[in-house]
Amino acid sequence: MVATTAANEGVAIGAVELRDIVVHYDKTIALNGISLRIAPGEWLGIIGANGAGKSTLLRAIARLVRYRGSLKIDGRDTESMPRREFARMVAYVPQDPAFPAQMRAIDYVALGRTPHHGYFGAESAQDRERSAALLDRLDMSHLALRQLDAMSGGELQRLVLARALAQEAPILLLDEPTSALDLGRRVEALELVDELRLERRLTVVSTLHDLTLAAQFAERVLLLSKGCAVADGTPEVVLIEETLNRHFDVKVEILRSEENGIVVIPRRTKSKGHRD
Amino acid sequence: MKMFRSGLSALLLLIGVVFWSGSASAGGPPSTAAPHFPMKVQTPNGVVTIKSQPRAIISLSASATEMLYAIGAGSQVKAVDKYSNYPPKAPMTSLDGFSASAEAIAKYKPDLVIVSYDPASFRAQMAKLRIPVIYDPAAPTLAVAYAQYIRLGRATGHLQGALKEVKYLKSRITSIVSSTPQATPGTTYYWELDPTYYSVTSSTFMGQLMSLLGLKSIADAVGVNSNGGYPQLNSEFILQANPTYIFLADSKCCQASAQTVTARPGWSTMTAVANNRILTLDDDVASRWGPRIVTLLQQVANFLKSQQG
Amino acid sequence: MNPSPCRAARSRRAVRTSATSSPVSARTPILVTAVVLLGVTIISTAIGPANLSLTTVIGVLLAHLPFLHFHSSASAMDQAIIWQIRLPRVVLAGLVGSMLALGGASYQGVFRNPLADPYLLGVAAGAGLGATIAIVTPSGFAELLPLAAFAGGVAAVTLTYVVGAKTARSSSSPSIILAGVAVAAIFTAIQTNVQQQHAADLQPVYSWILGSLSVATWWDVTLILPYVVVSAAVLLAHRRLLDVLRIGEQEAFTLGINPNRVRLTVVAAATLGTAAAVSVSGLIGFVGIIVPHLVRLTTNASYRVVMPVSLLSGASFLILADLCARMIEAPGEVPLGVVTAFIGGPFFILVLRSRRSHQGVL
Repeated sequence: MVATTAANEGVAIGAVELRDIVVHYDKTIALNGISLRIAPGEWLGIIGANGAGKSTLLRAIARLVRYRGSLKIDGRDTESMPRREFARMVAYVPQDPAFPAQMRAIDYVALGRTPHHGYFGAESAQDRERSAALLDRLDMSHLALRQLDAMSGGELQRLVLARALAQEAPILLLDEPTSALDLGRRVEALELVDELRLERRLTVVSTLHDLTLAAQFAERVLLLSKGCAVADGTPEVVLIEETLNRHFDVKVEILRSEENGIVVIPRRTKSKGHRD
Repeated sequence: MKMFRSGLSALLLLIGVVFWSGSASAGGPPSTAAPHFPMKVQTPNGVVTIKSQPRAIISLSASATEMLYAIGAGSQVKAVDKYSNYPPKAPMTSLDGFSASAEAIAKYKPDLVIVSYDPASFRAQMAKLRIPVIYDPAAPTLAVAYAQYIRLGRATGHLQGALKEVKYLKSRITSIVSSTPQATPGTTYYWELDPTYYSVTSSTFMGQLMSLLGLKSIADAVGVNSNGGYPQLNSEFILQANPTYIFLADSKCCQASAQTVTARPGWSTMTAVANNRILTLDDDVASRWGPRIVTLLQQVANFLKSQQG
Repeated sequence: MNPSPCRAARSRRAVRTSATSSPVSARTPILVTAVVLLGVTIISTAIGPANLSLTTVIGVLLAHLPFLHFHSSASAMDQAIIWQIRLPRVVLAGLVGSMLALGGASYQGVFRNPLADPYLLGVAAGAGLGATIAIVTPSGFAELLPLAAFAGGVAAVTLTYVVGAKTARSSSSPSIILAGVAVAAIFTAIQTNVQQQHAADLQPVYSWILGSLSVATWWDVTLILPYVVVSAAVLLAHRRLLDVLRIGEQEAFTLGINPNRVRLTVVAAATLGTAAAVSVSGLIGFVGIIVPHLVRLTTNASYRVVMPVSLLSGASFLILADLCARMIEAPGEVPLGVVTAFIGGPFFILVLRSRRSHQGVL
């Protein structure tokens, strides 16, 4: 297995293996035994209706919720892995990141270097160089000294990405990375993630509400419903009408376009209202 | 400690008392007949009617307790509060003059209650229970203290005893003062109420007693009426003022003594400390305006004599 | 023809930042506040109800420096005033002020709440209870008081943590704060009860609660110095971690930090230091909230700056406040807690109004 040899060599390459992950929230079961393997460099898009468990699954992988079952990264069990080491392997971008108003962009990105510091977090010149380089890569060098409260939504989106990349972790978890962006910014952001994924050989796991974008960018799609994995495969395989009708409780039409892949069109149940 | 607390209220009452003290001294010729009840007693807060000679008096004022026993009304005292520790035979209870509950007092079935502190609506509650209350706060002057004796004498049927006591006090004070050599002008003292340097000015009751002996409080420099006569002094100032004598009125509450004072950093540079011109007073004696003021005065006078001899 | 501004914006090229764009610099603010502290210390030592000239003061101070062999011609009393009475008071004010301000900044960092102050988890109520018990107990007034106050403060916060950690799934900030409110209420109720039952001692209890340094001695300084030094060292060491916590506990987790452990360590250190400080000074309020905010408004919100600068500014602030406390009604004293509120409040309002209104506080 590629994953285990890499682990033996001590090189992180970003293979994720989940086995029977179960998550409880009080009395309800949020994830009911999810098992899957994610290959290094893959982009897995997790889709599903509200409450299906998409965010929960992501948070389980990020070790932000308590779960039963096993999570292995590059063949290594993560249960007893120290948090700092884990943070060098998995970077997590939440749906609503907090942006302290008076922090400067460069300092915000530098936070991503925390897992590479000692306990009391003294940063080195190398850390600062890397943060600056990331800002540059994301076309934000001119914003380096700007405070977060003076930046637009799109800029903040890229900034969070920069911070996550600063962790230099091979696995990138994105929870609804485009929810606050307009259409143009959405495409921009996802293109950027794809570029970086290929550039740096990142494994990307994202949750996305927009099924069309999910189909366009993720190589593999996992459909969750009520805490269970009900479909797993390429977008063509997963995004078919009956499946979506059933699990999203909505009638859809699927268009397959040569250039743009799969387009999911929701159907209105009633025709547009007319005034008589 | 008690008078210190009532300092501010004492100041406010000064106005009322000034009017009253006039009527007190003009209270008519002393009657040699047996006390006749019902009695209407004049107080600064109005007239208190006492139906018959009280036989179950409750005193919630340590000074009043001492006065009652001094004028001969001790046998009529049924209960005293927990601070009334003199005379020892007074029937002490756990009543507290500062948080007296009308119910708790009523349980003793008193026919007269004496307080030196009047929390809100206490007297009104007592009035509802038809229990007469005499409110005698800390006396700001000797004249007011004497008037309190007279009032208690009238209220308890011991006017004769009260007059005798007042006469005795006056003569004792006069003799103590005259037998003490006149202090040289500029003789000062530092009167310590607590180890955080609260003191008394010459305008307070104790300050006035000390003035009789020709002594001036260093606290006067702050303003004679500062904080009602009980200002907190700065220790630098105390050192520099270099008082002739030091009187410690916090020996019981706070273990102050000549030794502790000498041990205070910097205090050994004061001449009073270096020459041990420190007098330790009993906290209670030094804070009450009852019959033991002559004890206090005598103690200070003896101390002054010994210092000069 | 001028290109439209929209087109110009689209074609804006990225400007490369220098590879070593610096982190938030704390050096200048620290230097400035240190110099201010030095100045304030000298001024405060030179002024007092006992009118001593500046040369006398400096002479006495020099005479006490170990290697100079300088002899002061001041009288024994003047020397005692400066060295035994005034200087320990100034030093104690500095220690207490620095600890309260640093503790306040630390609590604000760990609870991400601008109103958090070092008394949040009950240390004030606990110290108040300890002090009250010591005052009304009829034995050993002077020496027992600081120890009782310290023990009370530490006990209260410990109880808060025990209660708070048991009542939530994870010991989260809100649950601990609520536990702190409850514990503080209980301790305050007990304290008030004890105080009322010993109404004859009302005055010293209130005096302590209002805060005062009027009886400061070198003994008090040596008593609290180890706690303040250790506490400050631990807290300052955590300043970068507090910066990371600014993005929230969840995100901090994903960056490899354990927010619970950071919170516990910071709270423990701040509590020890604060309990020590109030044990000798009484409950001086206001410093822990206002000083860190003043620092944020005038410098930077990063804890790398706020923590050390708050430490130095808190010292200056309280030294000046104490100077007022002993000079306003000289030779009488004004309670220190009253002064800190009276001078701090309006000053803070002034600074608040002069800054841009949208500047955040965390």
